[in-house]
Amino acid sequence: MNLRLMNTTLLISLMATLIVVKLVQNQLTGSILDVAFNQESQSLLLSSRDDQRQLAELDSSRESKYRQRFDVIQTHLQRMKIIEANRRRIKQRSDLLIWLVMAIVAGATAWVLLSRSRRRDQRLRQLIPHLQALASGSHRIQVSEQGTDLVGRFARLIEDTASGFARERQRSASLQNLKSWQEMARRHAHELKTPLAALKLELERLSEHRDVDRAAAVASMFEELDQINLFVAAFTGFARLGKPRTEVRDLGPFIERFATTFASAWDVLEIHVELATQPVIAAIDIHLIKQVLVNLCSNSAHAGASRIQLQSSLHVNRRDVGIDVIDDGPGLPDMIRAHLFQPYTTTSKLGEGMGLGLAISRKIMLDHGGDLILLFSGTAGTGFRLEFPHPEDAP
Amino acid sequence: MTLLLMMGMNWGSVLVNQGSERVFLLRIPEYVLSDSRVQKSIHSGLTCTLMFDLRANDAFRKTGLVTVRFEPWDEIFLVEIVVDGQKHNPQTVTSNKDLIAWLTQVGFRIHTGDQVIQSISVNLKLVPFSEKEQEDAQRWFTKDLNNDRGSLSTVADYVLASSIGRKSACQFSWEVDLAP
Repeated sequence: MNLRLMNTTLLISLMATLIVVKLVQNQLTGSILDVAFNQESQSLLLSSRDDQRQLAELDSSRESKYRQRFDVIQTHLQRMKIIEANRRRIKQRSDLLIWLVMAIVAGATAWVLLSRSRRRDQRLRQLIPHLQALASGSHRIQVSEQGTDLVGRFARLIEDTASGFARERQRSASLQNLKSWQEMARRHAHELKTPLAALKLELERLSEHRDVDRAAAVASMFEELDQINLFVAAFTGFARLGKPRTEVRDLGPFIERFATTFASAWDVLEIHVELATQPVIAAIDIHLIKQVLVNLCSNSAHAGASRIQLQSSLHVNRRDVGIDVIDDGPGLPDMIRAHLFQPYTTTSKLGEGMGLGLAISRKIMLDHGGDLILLFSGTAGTGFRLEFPHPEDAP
Repeated sequence: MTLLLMMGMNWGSVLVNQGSERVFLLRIPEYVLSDSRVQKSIHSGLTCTLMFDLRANDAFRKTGLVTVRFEPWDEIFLVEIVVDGQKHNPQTVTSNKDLIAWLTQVGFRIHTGDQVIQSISVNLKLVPFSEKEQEDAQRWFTKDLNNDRGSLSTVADYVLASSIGRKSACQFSWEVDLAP
């Protein structure tokens, strides 16, 4: 409940009540009593009364009539005297009555305000789960609140926002999907176009020129076909990416062996290892994780890094462990960071890379129950983390 | 309300014996009757009541009252006396002077029985109007007057009516010495 608002309302009600009480007291009680005790009125009544007696003396035939009038006026004068004798008490009681009425009105108003405020709070509390659902991305929200007041409008707003979000998400997903397909079609077309064009040229050469070196032409055509095969194999690998066959092991020796095996794999890249003092145990598929590390090292080498460091870490996220891969390259361009792990995201020119490496790597890590995270990227280099769950939490 | 305590003054009350019974005449002091508030009340046209409360000891207590109503048409005072529940014949007094003289000189007979009483404390209260007049004023103020305005409720009527009450306008006390 908004206590500040309630207190302000009650204060305003109280002040309004005080003003009304004073007005009513002055206008009602005061004026009634002033009329009753008006000296001029009393003097006139007194004079009128005495006039009746003088009239009776002058016209004795109508004495009874004058006497009757005299008595009526006298009765009124007496009543006024009685009321005057009780003036203070009448005033006190009237004021008390007005205060009582106003207190009841103020009390009733406060009670109504309080009840309404409580009811509104209760209704607002009932909206919290719907807001939480909205925040978690649910797009089918049906609020039972049917009021037409502010709370009701708020409920409608939640429903409208959820349905708006859903529409926008669908639209965005469709656009994203189309964009991905466009990009994929463009890259596929390019990857196929080059070897096909070369094959066509060789075939033309063979058909038009009898003196061509047939063996060299055939060898060239096989090279182009191998290129197409490589292209197909990359997609086949992505499509057939299997579930990891994990085994629990210490990541330290695994990293060391990787560094030794691939020490000369990239001419420009020097691999360094830094291990945790304690064993870093995780459930991993060594072939798939090796593929991830190869992807990351290849990217670093391609980006121009000369040194890459592999370090095992304990407790990277509560019970989780990890391998940090940090290079000294120039960092990732800002424009690709937001969709770094999506397929066909690459800094390479067309024909030099498909942009599937990080997408495949992340898929592998997700399949391990962990994740591939970009730690940082800048002029000092780029850092990724391979995060693994505790073996007990692994899928 | 004013309390005038005139201790030790006899104010002319007289002890008389009536056979074996002891009787004394209670006279109202002149300063009481001449008091402006008493005079105003006596001449108001309302039934003004002077209520006595006589006390000597725990055993002796007498009450009495004198009602005075000024009749403005005839300019006469109608006086009634009730002592110890016994109503005396109404008297008519033609002037204020006669009224004061009568009440201060004639006095009221108070029977003390066979008790030997040395002194009596007298307390006199002035009630400016009668119960009947009060009820009439209540009706007029709350019903007739409100009907004209047509606004106040029954609750308000009751509250306003109950605020009109009979209470003494002033009070006087003195001692009556009955020592032989």
